[in-house]
Amino acid sequence: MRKYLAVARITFANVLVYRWEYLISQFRAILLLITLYFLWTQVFKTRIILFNFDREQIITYVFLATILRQFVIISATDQIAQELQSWGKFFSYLLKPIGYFSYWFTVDLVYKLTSLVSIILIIIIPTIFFQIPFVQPAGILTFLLFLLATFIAILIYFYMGILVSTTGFWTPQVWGLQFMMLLILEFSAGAYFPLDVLPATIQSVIKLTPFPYLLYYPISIFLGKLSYIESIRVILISTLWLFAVFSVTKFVWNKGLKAYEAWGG
Amino acid sequence: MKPGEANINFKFQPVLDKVETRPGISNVKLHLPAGRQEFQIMKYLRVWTRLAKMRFREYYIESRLHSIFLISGKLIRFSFFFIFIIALLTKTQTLAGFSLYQTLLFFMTFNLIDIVSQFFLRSAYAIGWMINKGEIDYILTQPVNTLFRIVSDIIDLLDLATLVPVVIVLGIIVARLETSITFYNFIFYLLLCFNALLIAFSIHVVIIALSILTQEISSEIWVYRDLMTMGRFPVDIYSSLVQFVLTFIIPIAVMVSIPAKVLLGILSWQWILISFAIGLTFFGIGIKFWHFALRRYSSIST
Repeated sequence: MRKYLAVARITFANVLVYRWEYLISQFRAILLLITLYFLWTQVFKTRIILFNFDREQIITYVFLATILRQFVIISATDQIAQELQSWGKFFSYLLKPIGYFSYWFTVDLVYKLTSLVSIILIIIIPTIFFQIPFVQPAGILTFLLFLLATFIAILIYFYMGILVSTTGFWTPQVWGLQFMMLLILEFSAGAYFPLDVLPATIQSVIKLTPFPYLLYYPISIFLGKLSYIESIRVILISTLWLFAVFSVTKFVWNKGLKAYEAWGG
Repeated sequence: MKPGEANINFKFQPVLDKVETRPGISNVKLHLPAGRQEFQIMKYLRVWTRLAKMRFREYYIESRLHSIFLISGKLIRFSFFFIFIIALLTKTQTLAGFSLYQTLLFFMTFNLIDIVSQFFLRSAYAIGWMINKGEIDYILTQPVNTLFRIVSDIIDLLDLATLVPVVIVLGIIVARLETSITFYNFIFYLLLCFNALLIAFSIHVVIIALSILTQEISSEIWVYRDLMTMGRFPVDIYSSLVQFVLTFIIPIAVMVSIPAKVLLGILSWQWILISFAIGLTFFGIGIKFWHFALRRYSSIST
């Protein structure tokens, strides 16, 4: 445990080295929030209910999606692909007394926590200043179910990130795939708007994938759009997705290890 | 030597002299007869084409898989937002008073300006890398305008692949607009799109100059990119304060909303003049700041 705490300390120090870059990355998240906030405010000027959302619910959705995006979809796993291609850097982990996945999960967690804290700090000021109305979770159980769904989402995304990075075992051209995956994932996860906005056919296709379990379903639980039974069902399905993604990642990873070639020092 | 005029040991000065440059590396002034000016334009066109070909080989032939994913990603993002706007406006009928096709016109104009500016100005993303690797030192020794050479270093032909469907869809939307488009509105639309590219160029130049001054990898470009995405929707959806910022401070509204409004015939001539004035002001500031930064450039590469 202590060695992972050391990894966490070093990662946190690394984040602080590039403070300006870090602040800018947080500021960028706010810009999307501003766009979506004004867009939905404008839309709800003439409507009370739209896509089964009222104004408060949609604004809460947009804010929560921004916060969760910085927590669930912020990941360090994209760096794995670079390490696999960078002259034997990956090889050096064999000499270290740590598990490779555990190491990256620790790094990932530090990225997520620092990101979460800073995005909340940035958002809280305008939220209080402009007195933006939010929906509160219906009860403590709803909130706990939301937290559980979010935790599973983090794990699903962690293994997804590794899965995409494993292509680095076979090709150096990983960045394009990571870029495309992130775009598909953000839209399908509901990072920009609730999936309810999309036509029914597109919705049903997206709901067959693990992506909505990253943001859309956890937020729906928070907003009370799902009953307790439905929430538990969603959590069970997301757990199944977690095992599926984990198994595929492990399988591809082991295949990749056999194909791995290191050169350089 | 004037302060900061040439703080690099210029080994290739004789070569530079041959192409009519002056000793101040940031003050390349050409006073050439018409025939020679034509020659210069052809030379720059040749350099640009050569660089584009080099990048084409690098991106498409050596990294084909990477290119396919990038193009697909960009088209997917475009499609998702397109579907979102249609789904939203089908329910609401209007957004800030604009109909579905009018809202789509704003979105497509945003895509047009964004893709074309990305096509010509991609190098701004790599400026930090260019400084750290000593590429700027190398570029300074070349007999072409330094800013031209930096900006042309990466020409992203990928953007042309995404530009084709965007132009086609834009054409379809313009044809389906409820309002009829006059010839003058169309000409002013094109001129204001050019004005938008001038502003985009100026902002990129300021970011490049900032990197030259601070010698750091510039992440300001990403802030600009995100600010630009605020132009996906008509600027009228924002509060008056945000609209003011997006018009006069970071003129995304001038780049996207104003050309679209001109095409719709709902913009006064005063705003057209103000838009061109903003474009020229930004261009002037960009070029001034570039010269200011270049005079203070010192190499940090090994």
